[in-house]
Amino acid sequence: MAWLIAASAAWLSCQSLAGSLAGRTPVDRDLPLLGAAIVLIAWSARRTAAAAPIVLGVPLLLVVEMAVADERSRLFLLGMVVAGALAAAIAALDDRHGIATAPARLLAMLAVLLLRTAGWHPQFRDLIQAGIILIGVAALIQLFSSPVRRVPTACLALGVVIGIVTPSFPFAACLYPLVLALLGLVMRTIVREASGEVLDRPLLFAAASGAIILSVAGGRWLLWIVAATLVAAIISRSRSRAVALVPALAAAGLIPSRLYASIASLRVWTVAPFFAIGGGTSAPIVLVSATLAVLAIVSRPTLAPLVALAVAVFGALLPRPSRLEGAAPVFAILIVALLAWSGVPARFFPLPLGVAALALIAATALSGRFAVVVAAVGVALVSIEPLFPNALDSVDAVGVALAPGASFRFEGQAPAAVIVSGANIAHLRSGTLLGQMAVVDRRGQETKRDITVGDASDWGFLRQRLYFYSHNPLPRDPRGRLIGYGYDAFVTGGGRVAIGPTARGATARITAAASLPRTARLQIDALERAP
Amino acid sequence: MTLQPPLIGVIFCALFTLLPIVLVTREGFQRYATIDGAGYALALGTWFLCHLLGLELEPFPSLVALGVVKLSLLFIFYAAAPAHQVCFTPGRIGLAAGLVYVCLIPAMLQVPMDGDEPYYVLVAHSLLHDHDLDLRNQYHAAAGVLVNRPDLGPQLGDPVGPHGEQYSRHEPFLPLLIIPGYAVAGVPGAMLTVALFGALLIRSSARLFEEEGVTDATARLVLPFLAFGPPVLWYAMRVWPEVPAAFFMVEAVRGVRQQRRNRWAPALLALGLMKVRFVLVAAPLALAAIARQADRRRQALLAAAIIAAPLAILWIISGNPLNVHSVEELAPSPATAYAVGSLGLVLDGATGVVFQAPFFLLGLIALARWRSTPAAFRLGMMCSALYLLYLIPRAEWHGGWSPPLRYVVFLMPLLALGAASLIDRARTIGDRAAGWAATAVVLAGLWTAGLVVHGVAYPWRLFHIASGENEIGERLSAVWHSDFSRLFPSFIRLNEAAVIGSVIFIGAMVAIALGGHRILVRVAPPQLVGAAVSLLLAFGFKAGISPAQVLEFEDAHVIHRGGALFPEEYRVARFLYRGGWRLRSGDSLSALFQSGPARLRYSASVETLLEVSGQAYVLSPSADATIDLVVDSGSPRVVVRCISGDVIVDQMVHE
Repeated sequence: MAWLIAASAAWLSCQSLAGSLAGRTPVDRDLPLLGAAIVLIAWSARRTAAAAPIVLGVPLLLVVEMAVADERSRLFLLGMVVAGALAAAIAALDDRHGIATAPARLLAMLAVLLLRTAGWHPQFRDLIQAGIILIGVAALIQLFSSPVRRVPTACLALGVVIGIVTPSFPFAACLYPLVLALLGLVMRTIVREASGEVLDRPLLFAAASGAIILSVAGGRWLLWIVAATLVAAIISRSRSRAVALVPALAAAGLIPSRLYASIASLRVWTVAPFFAIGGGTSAPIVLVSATLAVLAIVSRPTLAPLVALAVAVFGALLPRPSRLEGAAPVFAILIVALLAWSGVPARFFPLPLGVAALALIAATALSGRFAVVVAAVGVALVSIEPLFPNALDSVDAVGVALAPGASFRFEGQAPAAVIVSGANIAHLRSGTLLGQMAVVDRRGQETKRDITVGDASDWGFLRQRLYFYSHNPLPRDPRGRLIGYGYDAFVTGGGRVAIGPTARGATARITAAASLPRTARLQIDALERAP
Repeated sequence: MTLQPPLIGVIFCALFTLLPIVLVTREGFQRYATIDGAGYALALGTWFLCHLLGLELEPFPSLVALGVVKLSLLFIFYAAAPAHQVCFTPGRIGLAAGLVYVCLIPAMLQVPMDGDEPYYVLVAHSLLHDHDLDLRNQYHAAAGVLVNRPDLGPQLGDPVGPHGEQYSRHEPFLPLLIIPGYAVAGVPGAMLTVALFGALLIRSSARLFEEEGVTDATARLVLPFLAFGPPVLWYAMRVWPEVPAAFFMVEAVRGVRQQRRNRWAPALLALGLMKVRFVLVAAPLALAAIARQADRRRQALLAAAIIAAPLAILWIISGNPLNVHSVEELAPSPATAYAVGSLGLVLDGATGVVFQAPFFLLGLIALARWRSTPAAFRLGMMCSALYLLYLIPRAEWHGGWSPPLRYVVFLMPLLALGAASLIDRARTIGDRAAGWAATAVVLAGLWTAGLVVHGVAYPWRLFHIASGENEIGERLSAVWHSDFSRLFPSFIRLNEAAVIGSVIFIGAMVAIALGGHRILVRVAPPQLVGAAVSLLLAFGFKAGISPAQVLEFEDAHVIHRGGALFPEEYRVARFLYRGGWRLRSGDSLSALFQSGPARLRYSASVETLLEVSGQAYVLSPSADATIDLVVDSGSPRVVVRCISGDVIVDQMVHE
């Protein structure tokens, strides 16, 4: 009863405040939803001392809403408050063996629901899709549950990540978490057999069949993941462990060269030592992970995270030393903090910086005696933060779209760099020529620089509708602008292209490649003047 | 002094590497390392997200915020971890406090010293180099160099010697104490000396907690609030006598309780020497010490000497044993002055405990449970009664030009002890009472963290012009252009919120004294606290954006187009004046104000023509006059324009 009163009061107070604020963003209008969510998060931790203090997140939301005028800062802080409530609940519920399955499931589903629906107005289609995704996430959390009905916090975070990374388009992609849960069930059955238990054939058959059927409905990419997993799993049961090690290590060595498969490589590196030290039960996981890691390499960049996450799910099924779990709350906090209020980061997973942070945390948790040293490195990283330039500073807008073969000459001194993007080029692969930038100095000496997919991407390739189908990678030096709110938000695909220091009096020209498709355009969004 | 990124990095690195070494055991280290990693991960994640969202972070305030988050994480771990995972000894917690104070000194040095601070440094300089207390040469030549204050001159009412010597009104004991530090490292060395007293204060307070039977778990929770929260933090990094006085106060209370003359006698002497006002605390404490000793006659002589010594020294220096004060100041004042001062110290938005050091509200609540509080708390508070009776009716009860709560800093360790006893008691009663205590502590913790970030990142904002507004009210008023300051109680410029707040506070204290809190804890679960605060905030916001019924023209919500603040910002004892806004021909201002008949209070030196919401009024010259008007502009925003003349508009009240 008290919780109902608290939730109603939270809803009412947020509604009252949101109602008084005209012309604010959709996220602000969803303030009552966020308030009620915080009370629900507190309720999930009701058997801990943290429950009542977590409710204080609601007044914090109101304070942010009242006191912070800048839109982006406000939305960011609102996200941080909800993330903080979630992290506090996770920390309170975690008894070093993990979180009880029921609250873990609730928290994961709540996090996914908030991140996918708050801040925009989902249609009926989106709600149905979210429902299916939530079922998948719940199934994944159930899969991660240990025999003592505890879910490691890292697995909870993984469930949340899978829930938000699942693409909105095509519709059938919402089957992805459910397929992963079924494949996980297959792998867990096989791993248990390897550790001496009797193989539960009916369960294995049912799970494998379910995964295959759903993947047929889901599309070719999902079928690839299922096929690779099942084939590798079958091979792992018949071949010796030594054979399995070879592709695993090969993949582990290869993967770091590809940014998007970094999580896969981390997971493989984590798994490989278990195999080496004689953890016989891990052999099937190692082989399946290696196979999927190879798949991640050959698949298009936007699919790679989905494959990598499958590897993470299977890796999570392995029994690990308890000290690894020390990193779990950290991981959870990082995930929720990174997701602070825009669906955009979901499409960037795994992020290069996120991976670096993960590695740092893992090292901190594992190092024990050397933790201070690692922490000092962290400090150093933090200390140099202010030295990083901001993404959007000191640029002059240009706004020119060049048809294939057309060119644009900059007036006056050549810029230090340009920010370019493409239009209708989402289907082009990395390395495809988009155009050329040429700088001519006073003596007539010309310096040329090719602009390819990878330097810049399609302006809207990160939009929900385009992202899944796109072959564009994230630009090497992204300079996009954030547009929209909540899960509907996206960052434009602009990339910074520099030609090096230009001499005084030099002029510059950009020419769009004649080989571009007829409808494609090379867009010059902005330029950076030399200081 | 400007802080450069490498220096900030080094300080940050050093502090957060040393603190866990001091406070966490080998067993707890790995667990803490995980939490520490979480802090960095959070920072990296936050930074990246800001980068992605195009949010420009101010480097120094961001780093301060990160530092406060990390310090909070450390002390949450410190309070919640099993005893074998943390090192809880008075020495270590004192050392940790000292480390933090030392690392924060550069942040305080970013702006020139203010208030009484530079005078203490000048006296120390004079003692060190000239071997006298005459500051004439320092004012003429050295103030700009020494304390970066070329504008510094004698304070109003400073004693003048027979040959024109210019003495400071401030007692020379603190300058004497800081001389070694000042001689070695200049102003930072002087600050370092006070920081050392800060560390000693925390160590001594930890000992006091131990002796008074506070459990370790509660002490680990409460002491960080004392050490790293306002107001002790503000004074532990600055050259004010408050923190050394607090240290001597705790030592004196401990000495009296333990009947150890060697402890209380020097502590009381030092307390009296620090500031003559502290004699009002030292004298009752000395009486209490005598009452507890067997050899009363001898002790009485000693106590008399201790009380007389500071007065004699002041008499020698300034010719008056009370320095710039007089015995008349001890005479009773009107009852309203006592009410304003005492409730102001608790509830005032700019200078009260509730808003500036919220954790210590628990210590005030402990007053209502007097009989269940530790004996040292009762002793200390009783012996401070005379001091408080002297302080609260004064116009400067709020501290004047200084960081908040200046005059009661020395009481904070005792209030912390009261708070600790309250928390200890709640923990023994049951889960629900413990939940209430936890919620109260978290609420106070969140507020305190905000205050610390604000005060360290913007140290100059700790000095407020005592205009009746506070930083939060000003901020909200500026964002919404509506009068939010009226929602915060002000006893400097008495408002309705102050009256309502006082009634609630007195009612709550009476209810607690009668045992009403037991009913509350039994009936209401702690999760309703957050919900109630939310409703209060939502209601407050609604009230805040509605047109005002009382318009103070100098407030932050008023949009000023020309004119000037009156009296000017840095007028000495500005709080003694009625504030206002000076309008000359062509100047105007606008604000949200309720339509209808209103009364304008003003002061004009010449006949002035004033237009209020489109209607002109002639204001006759007067030092303090009112005029009745009708405000009806068709919109809630009223525009006041000076057509001709020169007027100071003070206040407009809806009739």
